[in-house]
Amino acid sequence: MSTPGYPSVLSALIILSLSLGLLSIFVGPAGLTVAQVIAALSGTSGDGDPASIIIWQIRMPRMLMGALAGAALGLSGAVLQGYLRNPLAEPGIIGVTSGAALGGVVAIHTGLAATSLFALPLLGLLGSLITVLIILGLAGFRGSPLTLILAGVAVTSLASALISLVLSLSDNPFALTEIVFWMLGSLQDRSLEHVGLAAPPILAGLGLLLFTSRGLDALTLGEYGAQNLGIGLDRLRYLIVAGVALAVGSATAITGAIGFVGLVVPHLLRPLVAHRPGRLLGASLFGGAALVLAADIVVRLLQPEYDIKLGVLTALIGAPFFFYLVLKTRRELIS
Amino acid sequence: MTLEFNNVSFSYGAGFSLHDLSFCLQPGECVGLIGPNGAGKSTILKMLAGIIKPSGGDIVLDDMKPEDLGPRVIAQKTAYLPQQRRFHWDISVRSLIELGRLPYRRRFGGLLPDDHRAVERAIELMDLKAHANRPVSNLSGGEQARVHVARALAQDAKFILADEPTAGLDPAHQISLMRCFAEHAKTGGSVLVSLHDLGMAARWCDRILLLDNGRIVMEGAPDMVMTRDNLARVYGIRAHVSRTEDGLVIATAGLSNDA
Repeated sequence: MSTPGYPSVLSALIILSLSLGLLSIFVGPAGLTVAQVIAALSGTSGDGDPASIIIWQIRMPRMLMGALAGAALGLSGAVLQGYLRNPLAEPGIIGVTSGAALGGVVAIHTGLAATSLFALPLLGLLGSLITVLIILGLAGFRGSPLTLILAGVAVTSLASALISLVLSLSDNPFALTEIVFWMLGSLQDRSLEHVGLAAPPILAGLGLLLFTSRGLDALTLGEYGAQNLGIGLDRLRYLIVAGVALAVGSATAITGAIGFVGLVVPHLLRPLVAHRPGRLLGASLFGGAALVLAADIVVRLLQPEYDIKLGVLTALIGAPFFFYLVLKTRRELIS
Repeated sequence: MTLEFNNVSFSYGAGFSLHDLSFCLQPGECVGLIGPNGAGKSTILKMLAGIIKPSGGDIVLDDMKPEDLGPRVIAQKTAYLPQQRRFHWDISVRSLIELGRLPYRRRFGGLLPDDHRAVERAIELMDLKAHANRPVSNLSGGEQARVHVARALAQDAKFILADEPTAGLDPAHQISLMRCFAEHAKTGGSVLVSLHDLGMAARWCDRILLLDNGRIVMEGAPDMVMTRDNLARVYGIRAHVSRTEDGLVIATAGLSNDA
């Protein structure tokens, strides 16, 4: 049972996500030739050149946003699975995603989203921020992983109820369609301004989360064992809630809810890092970016014939994987 | 170089409490903590390990209050073996034992030669060489218990606090574990170990703390504390206690109200 070394796994994932990022610049329904893309990238084509506009205004932001969102989801999933010591945990479990979705839905419903490019992401961020404050109020002090899950469930149900309320109050069919599509998750029509808005909080969140690796390794021994190794569990919990909120909250505020990435990526990569929770972090960051970039490339290859939303595609891939997990867990329980 | 309990009390809701406990763990001794279920053995060990805080009194670690030392220094000085022994991820035996070196490692830093030495020594002492590279789920319960002990040994702490570490081990590995603790004490460390096996406690501990209902009812050398009468009073058992060339031998014969 020889497993590849950690440096080679990590470099392979970095190379994979970089190549997918590059590939996604070349793919799209506009059908640009390779030469046109290279000319636009190198700046040799004129400013008003349509190829240049497509590359810099459409494909580039889409690629960057996909990479950031994927990294946020993958890393957050790995951190939460490690902290809760539960392989079924995913970023949505602490309610941040539904908080962001609620903010976005309110922005669309009130028409604010139409007035400014930034209204929707900002309200999304506000939504996830409020969620986090509620979560910390419920589970922050002297909380345990279980209270965190319970608080997440409570907040998620409240947010979904409020989303349904907004939907049923909405008498504008266009807003309704827009809300539904937005909630499905997509990288379409995101601008460089969106990326500029989301990148700093996402990167800050990723940075915070990378600092949890020691604590997560130590938690392999359980909470007492981790404490005895000098890990402050309260500090770890704050770091995780803040990091996930910043990274996933900001990503969701821009892209909508992209499901299953945070669940599937750590699972796929865990055997490659010999099940070590700390090492899973870096791997899941790049693995998440690679998965979202790959899924978005597929979405674009299907266009314009089939307009499948990114979130739908990841769920279509993710759900069967979830079935497999359930079966596997069942087998392990029996044996 | 001592770990002290000064008038420590602790209450746990309405039911359970510890009253005004004082004792001192000296370098060079292996102390056995015995007493019936619910007497407070695990709570004492958890307080000493810094997992829970006493509601009154102080703990003094090497003349300092634990709050002033910080978690990392406490972790370098005290290794705690919880009663609940579970591994949450299926990592290799060696990686698990390496976790014992976390208090010494820099963030994002690798293992240094000292770390490798401590890990190899712990693997050797707990007879785990053959299993070192296997995933921990492949091991039997008793072997996993030894991995936990090895993790604590790798921590290279002066004070070892172990909560029923022999549970689930075969007799030979129980003896080698207790011998390892005695060895740790002989080289200047201290061990506080809670045990249900009275014979093991009598044979391997230098001093016994007998606990009942949250109080230390007796403290002293095994042959002083573990008498027929004391065991009958605290545990409600009938025991044969005899001195042999191997030290004190204790065999339980029945409950004291059987007779």
